[in-house]
Amino acid sequence: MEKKSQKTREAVESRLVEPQQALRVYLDALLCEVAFSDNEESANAPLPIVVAEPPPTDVVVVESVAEATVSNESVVEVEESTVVTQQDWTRSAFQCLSFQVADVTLAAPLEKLSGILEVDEEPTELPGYAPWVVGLLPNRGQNVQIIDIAQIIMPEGHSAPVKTARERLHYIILVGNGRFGLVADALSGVLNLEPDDVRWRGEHSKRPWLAGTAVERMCAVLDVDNLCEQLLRGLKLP
Amino acid sequence: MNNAAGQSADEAMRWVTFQLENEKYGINVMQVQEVLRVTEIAPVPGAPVYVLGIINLRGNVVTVIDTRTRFGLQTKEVDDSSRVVIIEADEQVVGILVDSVAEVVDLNASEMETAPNVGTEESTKFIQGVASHEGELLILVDLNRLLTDEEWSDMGTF
Repeated sequence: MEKKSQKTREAVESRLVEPQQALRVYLDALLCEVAFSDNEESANAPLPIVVAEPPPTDVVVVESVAEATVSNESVVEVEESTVVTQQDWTRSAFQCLSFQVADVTLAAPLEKLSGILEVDEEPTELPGYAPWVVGLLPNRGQNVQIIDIAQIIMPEGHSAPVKTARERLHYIILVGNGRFGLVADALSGVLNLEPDDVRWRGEHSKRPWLAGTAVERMCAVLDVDNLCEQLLRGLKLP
Repeated sequence: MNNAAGQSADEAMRWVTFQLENEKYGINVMQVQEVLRVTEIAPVPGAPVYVLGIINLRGNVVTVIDTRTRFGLQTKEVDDSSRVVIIEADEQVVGILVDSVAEVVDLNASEMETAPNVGTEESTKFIQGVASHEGELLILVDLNRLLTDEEWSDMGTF
């Protein structure tokens, strides 16, 4: 297993890629890596409980769901105060918002999102912070900490996207009870995923933000709870 | 050491605000001694990059810190609105060069929000919090942490 992932890594390194392709190659490698380590993790993988699949949806639903979660702040608070249980949402079919960051498609479980914000003003920049902290933006009485997720998911050694987060700032996806906003280059729509569609990562992953990869959809599923927890604790990411 | 944070919870505090690049910052008025127009600043060879040089303030030598450099912003030519704010921090008197000094504002503790703790190094945690003021965010700076302890003790040696 290690040899194979080693090979993948070498293959990645030996290929000279354009900056915009670099992330795609990275994601490909990521998908392979998960696939190879799948055996030992399959025991821990959530049981595929078959649940009536939700009706097909499109982007319009995203907004309504997002709004619903925003207006439902008390519910989210309760959720936050309880200890985060091990990935409840991974046990049955779930819906994800998929969005583009650099060249990578990320998917975030809808139930973990607090909303989507269209940004039309400059966030307040904070000096002395890591480059992936874009700044603060007031929203509904609290200051959203805008996070350039592209720089967090970037593999070591790859430089930041050609355009800065400020230039790419059109939409932010609110997570962690609206405390954090992830910069999204574009919103793609809603994905319906079954637990079996995703290759879940183990608990001791080097990438705490990654819940797994939906190989067929070629997207990385974010572990929003874990990401927020890391951000809340102020841990250094990546 | 952290005077500002040590105040009682509901007390209103007074802040001197200044501008750097596009953002407005606030510093505790109790730590501000005076605001000067920029006069001749004599460079000090071998000083850290954030030290612009020294000025003669009525016979006393005062070190001037380039706040833009310290905050990781691009440097800017001194112009008519540039000011050196003489502050007292960590039991020392230093000057900080800013783009312009705006006003003095009163803020209640309840209006302030602590700074996010994501993505900071211990050494750069000089942002104490933020506050909404007239529709924009004011970044509140803890002057005592503008420099690390070691850097503060080096300040006296220029």
